Amino acid sequence: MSRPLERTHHRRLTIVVALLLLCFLGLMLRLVYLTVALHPHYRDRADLQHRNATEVMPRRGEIFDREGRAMAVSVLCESLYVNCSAAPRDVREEVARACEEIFGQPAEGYLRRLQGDQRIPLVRRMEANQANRLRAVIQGLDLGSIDIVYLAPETRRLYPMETVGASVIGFTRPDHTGDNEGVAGIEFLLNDLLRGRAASGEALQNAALQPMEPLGLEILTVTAGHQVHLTIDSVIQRVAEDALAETVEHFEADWGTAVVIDIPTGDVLAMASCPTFDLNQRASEPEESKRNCAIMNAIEPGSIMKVFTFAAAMEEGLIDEEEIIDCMGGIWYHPARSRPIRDDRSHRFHLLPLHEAFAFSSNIATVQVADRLTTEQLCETYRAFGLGQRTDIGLPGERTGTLRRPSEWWGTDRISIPIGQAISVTALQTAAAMAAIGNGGVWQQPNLIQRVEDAAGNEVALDLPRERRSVVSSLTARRMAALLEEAVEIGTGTEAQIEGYRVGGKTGTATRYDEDLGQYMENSYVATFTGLAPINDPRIACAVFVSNPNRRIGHYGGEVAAPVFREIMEASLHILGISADPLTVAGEAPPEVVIEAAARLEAPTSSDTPQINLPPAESDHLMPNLMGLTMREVTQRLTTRDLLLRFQGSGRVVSQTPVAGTSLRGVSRVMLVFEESEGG
Amino acid sequence: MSVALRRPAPPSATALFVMTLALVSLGLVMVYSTSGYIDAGSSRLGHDAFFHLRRQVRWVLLGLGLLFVMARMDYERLKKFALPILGLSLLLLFLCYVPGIGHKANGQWRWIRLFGFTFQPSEFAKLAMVIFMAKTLSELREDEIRSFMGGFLPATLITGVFLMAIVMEEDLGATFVLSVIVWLMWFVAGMRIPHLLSLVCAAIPAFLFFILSSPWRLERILAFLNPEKYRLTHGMQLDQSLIAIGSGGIFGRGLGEGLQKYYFLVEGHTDFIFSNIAEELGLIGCTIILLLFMAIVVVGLSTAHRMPDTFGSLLACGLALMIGIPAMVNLAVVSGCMPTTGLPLPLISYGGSQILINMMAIGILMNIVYHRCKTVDPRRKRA
Repeated sequence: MSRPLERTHHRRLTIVVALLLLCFLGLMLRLVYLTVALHPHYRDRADLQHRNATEVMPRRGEIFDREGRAMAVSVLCESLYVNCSAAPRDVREEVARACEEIFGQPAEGYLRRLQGDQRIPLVRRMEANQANRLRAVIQGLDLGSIDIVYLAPETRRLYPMETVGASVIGFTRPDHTGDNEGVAGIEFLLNDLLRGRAASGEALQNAALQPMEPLGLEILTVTAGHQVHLTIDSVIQRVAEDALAETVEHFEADWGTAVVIDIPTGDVLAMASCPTFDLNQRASEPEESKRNCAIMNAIEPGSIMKVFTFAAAMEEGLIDEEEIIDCMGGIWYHPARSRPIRDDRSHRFHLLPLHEAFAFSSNIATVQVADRLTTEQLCETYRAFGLGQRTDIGLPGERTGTLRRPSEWWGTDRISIPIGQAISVTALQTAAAMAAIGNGGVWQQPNLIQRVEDAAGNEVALDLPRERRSVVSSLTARRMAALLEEAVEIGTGTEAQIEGYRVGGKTGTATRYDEDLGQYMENSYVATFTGLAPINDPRIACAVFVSNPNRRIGHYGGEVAAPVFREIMEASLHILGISADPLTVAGEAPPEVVIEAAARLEAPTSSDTPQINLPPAESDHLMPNLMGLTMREVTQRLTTRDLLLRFQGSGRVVSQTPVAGTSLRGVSRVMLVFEESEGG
Repeated sequence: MSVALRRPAPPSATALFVMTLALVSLGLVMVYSTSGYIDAGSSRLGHDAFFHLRRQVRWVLLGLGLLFVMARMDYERLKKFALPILGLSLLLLFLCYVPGIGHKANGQWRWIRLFGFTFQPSEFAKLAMVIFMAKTLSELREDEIRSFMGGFLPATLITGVFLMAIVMEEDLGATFVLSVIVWLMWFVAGMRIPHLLSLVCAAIPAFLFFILSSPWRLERILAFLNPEKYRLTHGMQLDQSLIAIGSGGIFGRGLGEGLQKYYFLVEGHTDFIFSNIAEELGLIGCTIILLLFMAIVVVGLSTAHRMPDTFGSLLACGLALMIGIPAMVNLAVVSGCMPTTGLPLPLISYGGSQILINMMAIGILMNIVYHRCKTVDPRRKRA
């Protein structure tokens, strides 16, 4: 049996208890100090390591046409991410099986991609229903962590108009926030604005710097990028693309392009290329189809160059339209050239008034006109019209073309260049130069971007060059316009005539120079046309190039490019609600008088049809039934009416406002909804 | 003797049990809270978020069984087992070095693995030492305890062997805790103050030698003095612990809402579980835990105070210290009052050995409380 307790024992026990309680009290004080006094300090330090100021990329801004129709939009969708190192084998197999079932690709492919030890996006930007099915699978995996297999929101770029304006709008490629990196066209040019500014959000992270939760949906939707409004009118663009496609197909041409410019503002209304591609299927479309032919293809323009040669001579006062010029029966053995200068077989004349020589596109007359000018004068005028000069419209890949300095003009250049050889231009340059003639001789830098708005709708100032320069006097411009009108009325461009409008334009047919082979191709041509309308007050300029049409079907600018021009111009005039000219007869009256007369007549009748003197037939005042018609058929049906057409969608008319049979008195706008028919 | 067990348990025994249960339950919750995320992300554990919780539950259930067994077994019978237990404990300590049985973790041979279970013999050594010391000291006369040759030398020699064995395992925390427990038991048993002080004086150079003998220990001490400066090296653990406690504030982030457990504070479910508790439950949670430990210690020591027999008294004292001293040292470490040593928080931290041993200790303590009530009551009536 143990000994009894001593008094010392009790005393010492008390001391131990006191000692321990003292220690506990000390610990307590220490904890109070840490959690109360030092709390702010440690809270900050905790935030510093727990919260990661992640940059959240905003949703990419939309691209609209000039009427506010969406051409490129970003929608939120989800991507499947797998943290391969953290996912056990059975989870990876399950995910691969689920993907096979949902997306139809073999599971082996998915499994192979899941072999590594990285965090990878397994399936990007899936449809909503696919995401929902996948979500159910992931929830069934019972992973215990949201960080292993998860769906993360990403944006996906959609192009509602598919092919319309494809080469202008360009496209994006995915980065870590989804389809958000522009690689071509406007998407590339304004990428920084469309992306918007990165919003900084805070995400919780673990010590391995991995986010604790996927980025929130709200963050992505709140901070959108800037919205871009283009000067493009998507309806004109579509008409231009359709017309080009039809022509390129019919004439078995290599490619075609058309540019439409709003003359007063320099806005590009349409910039069409053929072949084109579906923006939503961009990955599977051939690379050649993604070329923006309007700026990337520089060709020898042929006879349309004569417009600017004549303008130069006119500006210097060296020619008179009425003077008689010797066209030498179509063959001129020029001393500077071994081969004779020839006019086309169908237009061989001897003595002719200069305006008719222009209308029939006489090379011989043009060379004689050019001979009255110095090389410097010629070159300076061409340069001022922007030919062979970059327009700096901003789109990537713009070609400069070729216009050599006067000191570099050799041998036959003084013969070749004034008639559009040994010089190369793009369709955009040509249309802009033609617009300068319509704009009273003032060249304006063509413009694609109407305005940019931030997500809140405030306009953002853009630092885009908007150069304006006077090239020729307004009188020269008007005299040129009259010459151009005659060329369409009686000359080589008769195919460009539009009923009810006065149209001016110039054809061109040039031997095609193959850049790859470095030589002119036998029996291979580029058909061109450029023109403007209405002549009394030019509003729209257009240039059309069609390369290498099949010669057996046709190769002249007048037969290949002019009809395209007519279709585009006619549609544009209607779509923009430009009144038909009151006076469609030209030729006899000097241009000045025509303009005055037009102005006088136009004032009181601006909103009525041109046939004011005739009592209009009853049917003319009723809205026709347009259901089931294509866009082009609609514009043809409503040709004679002064109506502002609003188009929505593509395909055939499924809805019209006003409905068929209602009176059109006082109606100025027609709204049409198109839809693709089921059968294609 | 067994008559006592059929009577209703005295209030302080029930209180001991309830407090233990409270601490162990909180421990279970916090073990899951701190280990769940890491387990789920660990391919080694098969992404099983409940890996540690499941094991801990197993240990706690086993511990409860041992607690009841010990509570029902007369503590006097431990006297007979004291020496065998001590021998077994020493054997186990040396088994750590036997290949195939010894288990290395974090670079230290502190564990043995038998039949699929990992066990930390230093925990067992604590209990063995407490029982043995209580027995030896209670059998010595007072003058024997006060003499150098009769009491001091044998006691220090036996303790010294144990401490050497544990120090060799680089388990400085366990060594420190064991020496403090034994030292306090000697003090209570009536050893002479000069003898006791001479041990402290001898310990200081040994401690200094130990620190200076390896550079990383010195670094650890320096890091302890300024954890923020060494926050990327040796001070990281302490610094993260202080961030956890400090950022918790008075009310904490809320249960399960802690952020330090996301790999910031490693060993968050074992030695540093208190920091995570402080982060999630705040000063209020800390205070409750502190009070519970204090209460266990006070109940134990007051039982020791009232026990008529020296063995029971010293045993109760030793057992109370066995819970109280590691708890205090652990709290001091995680709150930056002491250099960092690896030491679990009794009854709360993840770890089978400490749960089993400490719950056994509580069981024995409860048994002593039963006896005190039985033996003291008549004396009280008489008084």
